[in-house]
Formats: sequence, structure tokens, C-alpha cells
Amino acid sequence: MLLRRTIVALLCISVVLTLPYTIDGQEGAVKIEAVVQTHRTHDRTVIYKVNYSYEFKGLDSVYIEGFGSVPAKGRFTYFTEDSNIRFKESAQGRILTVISLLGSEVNTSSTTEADFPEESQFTLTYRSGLWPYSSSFQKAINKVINQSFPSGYKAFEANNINYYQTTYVSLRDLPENLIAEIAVLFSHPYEVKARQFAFHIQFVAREKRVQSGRWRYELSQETQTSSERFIDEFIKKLSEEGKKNK
Amino acid sequence: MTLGTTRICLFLVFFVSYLIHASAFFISYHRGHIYADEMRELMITVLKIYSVHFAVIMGGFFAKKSKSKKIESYSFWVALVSSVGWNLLLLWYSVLFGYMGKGTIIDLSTYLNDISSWSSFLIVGVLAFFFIKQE
Repeated sequence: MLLRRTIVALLCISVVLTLPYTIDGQEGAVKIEAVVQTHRTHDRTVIYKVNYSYEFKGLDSVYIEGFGSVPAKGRFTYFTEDSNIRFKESAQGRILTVISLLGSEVNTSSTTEADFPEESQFTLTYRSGLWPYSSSFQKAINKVINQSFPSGYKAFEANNINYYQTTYVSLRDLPENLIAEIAVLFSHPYEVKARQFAFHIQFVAREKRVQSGRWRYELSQETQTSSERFIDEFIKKLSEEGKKNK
Repeated sequence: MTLGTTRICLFLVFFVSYLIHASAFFISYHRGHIYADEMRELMITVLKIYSVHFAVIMGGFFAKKSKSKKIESYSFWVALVSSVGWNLLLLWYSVLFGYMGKGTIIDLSTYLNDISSWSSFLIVGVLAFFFIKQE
């Protein structure tokens, strides 16, 4: 596991590609710091883990397709199934720039796979939270997810809703003979009002006994409790991040 | 050494081995290291492996044969060593799994199925000799 993470870390720091551009007098730069091509574990589809920073002068915010509306300057790390990153002025606005992830600088990681659950596995019930902060939800969630889920998350968009789906991470405080993991699906915005919106959190947890062969999705009470606690802690961290950047 | 005594010895080797397998799986389940249905799967796996041999042994007991017939001492020891060897070959992993908590159910099932089929030459002849051919 350590060797695997070290290889990915080495791959991640090996590419630095800056793409400056000018459009109608607006200056901008997107710095692709790493692209790692890998596969989703359950269906073997190609997915890219991208790490980039960007800055668009003269704009307050930009819209990244599949990711959402973000401040005009930022840095993100996430998985995407799209081989292009499109920066737009707004969701329906003009395209600022399109960055292809298929250059020769793309690293292919054969040692790691991205273990994302299928979307259909997530609970239909969800917990809802309110984002009343003026700070960027995407920026906060990018930071908190990458801290809580070291393997990362996938960003995608459907029906004007942005989704952030994580890989699995181990749950803590379980009996010694039990192993459990959780993956989370965030979606937003819902119930948009003047300066606030709601976000939804769904999760899928799985467990197995230490000598078991396969994961089970019918959860024991211990795993249920640990999952709920994990979500509580996550929401707390997210709120703290929102307040910090208020 | 009589044929009857040899048969009982061989039967005990197999029966005790089976009990050790079963107890290892039960202990693993009791410690919460595997689920109940996985314990059942393991029991069935081992029972399938042993069922052929138990069938031959039980058939030998009920057949009308000369149980007091004397047999060569070296035959008895070869049969005993072969049977114990074959059972130990299967048992060590089950003991490691159940009593020491090593490995997973997939590793164990694969090992038991593979090794039992590839090593059956050790006991097929022995069981046939003592439980079928002796008239």
C-alpha cells in the first residue's frame, strides 16, 4: 500500500504543464500539475486524476464544466471521466479555454485503480446541509474531501447538479474483527436562495470480517454507527472550512 | 496387526482430522473473524473433500470381510504415514486460519481444493487396499 501510494505520489509530481492564454484581452493561466490515467475498479472505465491550478484575471468567478462555479483563482485535485477541462465564464457563458488531458505528459498508472462504488449503490435517503457561507463550496469540499479521502473523489455534473463522489476510506472505531469502508456522494445546489443553498450527502458503506473473502453491504450496528459518526465529523469539518474562509 | 485394527486406525486419522478442520472453522466464526455462512461454506468444502474417503472407509466397515486377517507391519505403517501426511498437508492451513487468525477464507478454500486434488495419490491406493481389496 505504501509502495503504491509512493508510486502515485511520484507520478503526481512528475508533470508540470502551464498553459497561458489570452481571450478578448483577459489573461489567464491554467497550470496542469499532474494527470494520472487509471481505471475504475468495478467497470474498468478510464478515469483521469488531475491536479491543476488556474488564475483568470479580471473575473470574480469562472465555471468549470463538471465541477461547478468556482473563484477565478484556485487549485483542485479530483478524478474526471472527461479528457478535457473546460473553463467558462458561467454555466451558460462563453468558453474561456479548454485543456486536454491527453497530452504526452499524461502518466498511466497501472499500479492503482480508483475504487469508486456505482452510483446506484448509494442510499436513496440523504442528509441535507445548508451552505450559508460566502466562501466557495467547491473549494471547501475539495480540501475536506482530499483530507478525509486520500484516494480522491470524482466530480461530474447531471441535470444542473454537481456531484462529488469519493472513493472508499476505512471507518474507524470498529471492533478488531471488523473492517468497514465508506464512500460518499455529495451533490449541490438544491433549494437555492439569495446567498445560500442546500447540499445533499448520501453514502454507501461496506464491511467484512477480518478473515472474510468479500465485502457485504448489509451492515452491522457497529458499521452503521461508525458511518453516521463519520458523516457528522465530515459535515463539521466542512462547516469549519466554510467559516474559516467566510 | 489385524485388518480391523488398521481400518480403525485409518478411520480415526481421517475422522479426527475432519474434527480439527471443523473446530478451526468454528473458532474463527466464534471469534467473529468470519460470518456464519462462510463457516458453513468451509465445512461443506472440507466435507466434500473427505466425503469420498469416508465413503470408502464406511463401505469397508460394512463389507463382509475378514477383519481378523493379519497384515504386514510395514503395510500398516506406510498406510498410516501416508494418511497422516495427507491430512497434515490439509490441516496446517486450517489450523493457521482458525487458531491463529491468518489468511482469508478465499485463500483457505483455494488451498484446500487445490491441494486435496493434487495430493490424493497419497491415500487413494492405501484406502483401496485396506477397505476394498482385502478378501
